[in-house]
Amino acid sequence: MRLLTHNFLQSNVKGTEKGYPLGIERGAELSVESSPVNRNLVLKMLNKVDYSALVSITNNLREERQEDIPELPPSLPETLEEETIANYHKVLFDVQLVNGFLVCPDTGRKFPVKDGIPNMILHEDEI
Amino acid sequence: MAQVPASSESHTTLDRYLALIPRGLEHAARENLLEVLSDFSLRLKVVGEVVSDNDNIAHISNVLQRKKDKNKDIIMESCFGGFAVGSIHENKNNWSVGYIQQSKPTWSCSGVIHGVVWLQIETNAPAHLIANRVRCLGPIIALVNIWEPIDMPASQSLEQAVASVKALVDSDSQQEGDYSQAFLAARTLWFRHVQAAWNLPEEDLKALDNKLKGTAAMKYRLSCIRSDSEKYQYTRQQLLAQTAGIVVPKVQGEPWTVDLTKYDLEVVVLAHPKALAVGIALRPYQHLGVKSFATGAIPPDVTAPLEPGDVVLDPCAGVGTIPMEVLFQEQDAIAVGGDIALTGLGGVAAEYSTRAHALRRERYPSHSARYADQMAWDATCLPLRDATVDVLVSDLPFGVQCLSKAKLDSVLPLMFSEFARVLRPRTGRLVLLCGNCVPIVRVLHQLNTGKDSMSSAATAEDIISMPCDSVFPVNIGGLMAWVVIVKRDNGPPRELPNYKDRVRKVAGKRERIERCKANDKSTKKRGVHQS
Repeated sequence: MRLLTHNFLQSNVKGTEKGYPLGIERGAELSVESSPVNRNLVLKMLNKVDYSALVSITNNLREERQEDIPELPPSLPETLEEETIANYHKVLFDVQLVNGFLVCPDTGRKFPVKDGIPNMILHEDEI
Repeated sequence: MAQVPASSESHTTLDRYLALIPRGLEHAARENLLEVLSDFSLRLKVVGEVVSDNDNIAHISNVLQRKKDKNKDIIMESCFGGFAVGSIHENKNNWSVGYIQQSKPTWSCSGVIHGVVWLQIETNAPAHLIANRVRCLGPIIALVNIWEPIDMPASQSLEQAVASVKALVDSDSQQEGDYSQAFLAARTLWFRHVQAAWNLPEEDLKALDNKLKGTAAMKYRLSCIRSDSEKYQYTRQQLLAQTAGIVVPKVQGEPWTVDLTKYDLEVVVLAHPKALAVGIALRPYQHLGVKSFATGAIPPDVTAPLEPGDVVLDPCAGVGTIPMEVLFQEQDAIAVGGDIALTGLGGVAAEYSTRAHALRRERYPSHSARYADQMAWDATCLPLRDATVDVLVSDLPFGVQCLSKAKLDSVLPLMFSEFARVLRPRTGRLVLLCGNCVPIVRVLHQLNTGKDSMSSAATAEDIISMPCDSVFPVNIGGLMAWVVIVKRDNGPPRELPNYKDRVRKVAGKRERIERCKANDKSTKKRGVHQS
């Protein structure tokens, strides 16, 4: 699962107030690819993401993978340098969560991720 | 919207078209034209009020009876069950039904002009945009001329009708423009469409070009469509035979010859007591297996194409066929798909996804940012933030294999309230394939009204734009299915009464079934060990 998809996620567990951004538990297996920067797509998607959630998960992952994952500006700059766009591209499209756990920010419920596929299904008593 | 490249084809004089749009879809056609042709001059005019006396349920019912349509009941129920359904077009029987407007259904049938709106379009946009990008126009002609209002009642004799046509064509020559000049302009426009959209081999295009220059004979067909044909004193063939020399002007070079099946060009006469139009058909009916404009049926075509940067969602994606297809579309879009079945099928889905992404990298190395992600989820409780999805495309579960009718009826409202929540207000679109459109359209109405009632009066709080952009049947390997297309309106999503309880109930039931299955399996295993 890419971090862009992660940005759209929210936890629906009973008792959540906001439900996002979901945390990624330490020790998760990530894959970081390298794809040609698609400037237009990056600009389009930056309009669609929750920016603070994107920064927060990026900082979260940088605690373990500082060398692979670029740092993002704390707020979206008005003018974007090519290098910044490349960084956004990397974060949005190249970083994938392969195995590990997503964590509900409010309740701590863990959602397992296997082969890149998170299991977001809730049990009867969690709804 | 996508940038339209400036084309050398655009010019200062405006091309004239006439499109026949199933009534009820004119708003969709108008919106789409304004959007796609926003960089060009565009003048739209609904020509007169071309309504037929027979525009009523009894008449449609008779026609359906005659056609002996075995799906009649389904269609009748969905069209006339008291709510608006948009346009229905049934390929085999060549008829289409508009929605109920002030409890009045409208319909159209190829070869007649019931229930269609005549939309005159004047624009300097290049032919390829009109032919390939503009949606929901249906049958369209390069307009030679239109006369309205006129007086050509069905009670006229053949001689009177021919005299009326002649008088109209002659009046052109005396007034604003020469009729034969207008015919030439329409013919030029027709050829630009042939070049832009007919995909003819180079040698065929060259042959047509020679015929246009007059060095070879153009083969043409003349067709007439009109309403209430049985009321007229003369047949369409009689009228055409007598007026061919009037509506098809003499050309320089080789004279044109008539060929009803293997024609190059089709001249169309649209006849109505209050309006008459002549034009040249712009779609290659002779190559589409439907003979001609008059007998051809082109389904209403309103699927909004993907826009760059769209987020596409399939909430019931199975192993992810639809999301993976998004990787191979023309536009850079990303897809998210999920299914409850991915708890068990996760491995299969992951393998499928890996292969699809590898194929995409190989075919489109420069577009490798496009992706499709998958997850296991319950479509009645989507783990997605509000207003994050641009297009929802889904093949909803249907048939007894996946879900029983009762089960579907209980989960549909829950699913659709989630769809409404995650779609972007105003711009979001829903494209659904389903077994029966009736419960789907009903649920869409309920989202707006919050009740079971089917009131179709639009309000500012509407969640779904009704009527549907389109509802039409498709044949899937002999199974009849329906495509429903709607837009998300501006209203804020509302939580259904007892929503959480209902979702919990669905989850509880599912878990009990899973536990039973697991027990069965372990019992069986133990049985094997014991023997």
